[in-house]
Amino acid sequence: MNEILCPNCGKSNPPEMEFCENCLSPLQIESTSEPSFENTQPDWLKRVRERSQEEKPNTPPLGDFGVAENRPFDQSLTTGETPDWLKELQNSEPPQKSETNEPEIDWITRLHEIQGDSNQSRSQSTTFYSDEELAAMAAARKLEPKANSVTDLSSEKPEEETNLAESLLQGPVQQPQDSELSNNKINFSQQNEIQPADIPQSGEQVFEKPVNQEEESSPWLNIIPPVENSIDLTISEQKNGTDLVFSSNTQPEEKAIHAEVSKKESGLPSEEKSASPLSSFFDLENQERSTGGAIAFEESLIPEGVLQPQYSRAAEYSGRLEISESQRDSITLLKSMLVGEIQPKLPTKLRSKFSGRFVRAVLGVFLLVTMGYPFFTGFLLMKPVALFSPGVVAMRNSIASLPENAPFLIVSDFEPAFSGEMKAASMGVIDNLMMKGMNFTVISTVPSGPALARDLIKTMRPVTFSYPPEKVAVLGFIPGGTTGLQDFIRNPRLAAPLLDGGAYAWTYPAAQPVKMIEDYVGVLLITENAEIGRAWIEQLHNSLSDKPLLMVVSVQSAPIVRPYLDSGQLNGLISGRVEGAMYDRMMDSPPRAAIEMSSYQMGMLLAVGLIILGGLYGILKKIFRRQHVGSTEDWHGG
Amino acid sequence: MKAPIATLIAILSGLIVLLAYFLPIPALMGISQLIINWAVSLSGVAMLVAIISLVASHWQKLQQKRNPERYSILVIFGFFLTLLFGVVMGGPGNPEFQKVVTQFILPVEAGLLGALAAGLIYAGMRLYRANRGWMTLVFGISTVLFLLLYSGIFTSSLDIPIIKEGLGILQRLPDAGGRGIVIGLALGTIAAGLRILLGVDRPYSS
Repeated sequence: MNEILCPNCGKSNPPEMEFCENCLSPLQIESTSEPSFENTQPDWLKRVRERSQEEKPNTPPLGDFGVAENRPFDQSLTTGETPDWLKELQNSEPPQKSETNEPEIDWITRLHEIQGDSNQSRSQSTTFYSDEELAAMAAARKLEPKANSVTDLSSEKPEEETNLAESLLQGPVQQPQDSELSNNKINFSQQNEIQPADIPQSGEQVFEKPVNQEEESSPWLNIIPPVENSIDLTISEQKNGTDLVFSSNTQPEEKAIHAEVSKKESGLPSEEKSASPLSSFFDLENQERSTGGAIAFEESLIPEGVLQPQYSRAAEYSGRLEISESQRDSITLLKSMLVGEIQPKLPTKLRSKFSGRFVRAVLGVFLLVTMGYPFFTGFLLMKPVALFSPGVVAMRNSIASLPENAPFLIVSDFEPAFSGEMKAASMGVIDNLMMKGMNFTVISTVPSGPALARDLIKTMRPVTFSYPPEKVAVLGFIPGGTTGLQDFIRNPRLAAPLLDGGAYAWTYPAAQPVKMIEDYVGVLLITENAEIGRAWIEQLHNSLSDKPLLMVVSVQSAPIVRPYLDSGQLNGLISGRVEGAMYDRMMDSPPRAAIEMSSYQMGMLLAVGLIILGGLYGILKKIFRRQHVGSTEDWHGG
Repeated sequence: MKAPIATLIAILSGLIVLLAYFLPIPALMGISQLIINWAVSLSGVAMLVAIISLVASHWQKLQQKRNPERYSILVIFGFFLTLLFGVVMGGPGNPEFQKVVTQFILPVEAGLLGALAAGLIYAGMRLYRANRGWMTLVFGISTVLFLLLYSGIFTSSLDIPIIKEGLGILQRLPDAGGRGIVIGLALGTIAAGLRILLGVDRPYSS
């Protein structure tokens, strides 16, 4: 290995570096300490490492940066892909077998048997363990959660059991990880310290010393272990809920271990003590305690720089599910089926040879030609009307009963779009009122109403025969809708004091005699809006008393307004162009707009014919499509 | 209660106007008239506010960085042009200014109605293709029947008693529907008025 491991953080650094790239700690300590550790490590530990390399389980091959490769687990890398460190390991000498065959009954094997999470068989063991065994066991358990792999430890130490180790295995081995920490620290240090030559021989009861001999231990040992033990036990209780009895049971054994360690330490010379791994470890431990804390202390317990070459990296398994191509195709098919079920069915688009826009354009042109034909040729489709509706008859009678030259109110509440129909429907009535010399007051709740009323009167009487302007007072527009008309009905002079030209309205000749709404001899309402007509009827009904209320409405509003005629709230009703023509007919006047009426009727008949033809086409198409589908559909096909 | 003062004012105003219909007390009628005058004046102010809001809204649409509404410039241009004409010509009473209505608004709106008529005829042609069933058939037949009825072809020189009776019956069919609508409207109006008078509905406090 050409790299230098940092003694502080364990990161590898280039050999020429003096300080760690990660934590900037001096690397000199590591460069000096590691060889000494290599040199001083016992032979059994070397063999442990070698065996761990041999018995390393098959892990998924990892490429650069730990990414799992696609090759099978057992397939080795090609020669060119073999890293240098692996070549060195492969070229190294095979592990030397121990001189004796006693390790075949390995205490490590029994250690696996006892450990709950071991991969070995779980046969119950009744043997005892020495302090070396316990130290190796604790070190292995310490490494387990971090490296997730247990490296088999071997030792040439023959099987030596003590009652103390048995009792210790019943406690700390099954103890949670945090509470094991103090034991691990002590045992691992002890493991480094004790040379194979110093391993006690069979029958040596190393832990049989009484606990009270703790006073004989070294002073440094008196400081650290009890503190750590108490801290770890507390953590253990909090995290895992370990029973307190369990902790109290383990304490004497740990004290015994400390006593044994101190006993062995005290047997060494002072120089060896200071240079021994155990001493250096506890020196490091003291340093960590002063700077880091419990967690930093735990990390320094087994320096990563020491363990890194010994233990392999944790096995990494790919999280991706290995699926075949056929399975992938099945997944794709299932997905598409599910998506098709979720999405709503789109309506079947009716395909036609002609687009809707083209058909509408042709239809519009056809309508224009048909309805324009009477204007160009003077063609009259029907003879003059011979039947008269009850509303028209009532209108005629109401107007006939009105006095001449009396104030009359005209409400012009229709929109410009309906001006053609409203004009045609109301012309006969207004002409009849003009013949009576009525003084008109025009009001509107629609902004464009006054202008349309003026246009209507102007159309009725051209310039030569124009109606005298002093007989027409256009008050303009009153805002507020229903509230505005209510205001006008209650007090016309206050609600609309001015003409649309700005002059005072109620001194104008046409409006001068009017002080309240009852002063009008009648009211004519021209509207296409059923709501407006309803509001006027309901508000005027009690105010006009016996004065006639007349209405000219469009055909679309007639069904809503006609009930008021039936109930007597209306005194006359003309709906649409046809009934306007009826009124003209009743007046014995020539048809006022015969050509327009003919054009209107031709357009209506054309619309009826197109709707019937379209319906028949749809029915026939449906029938033929059904026959077509019935003849071509394969009912027996798969 | 939310906005109790506004609710109290609304209830009192409604009650006074309502009572003035039934009780010919001069003082009550005077107060009612005053309240209605205020409402009409406020309606005029509201229309001014609506006009300003309309112009501002179209101006904002025009100022949008993403997809500006370019037709809004026609609205703004038409509004200010009409306003200018009205101010210069002396208001809506001027016959020349009234040509804005008779020669601009009227043809445009009438043309739109003509296009609507053509579209409705086209929809009537495709009616049975889109929706098939007895109700569609009934709707189509009634449409054809009443188009013929209101075209006036049956009223021309057909002084036959059975036709007269038949026309009378046919004309009563929409009248029956219209009467039902009017009754429903009256009941709805009464209910809405009572809810406002009792303070259940407070559209003014929203």
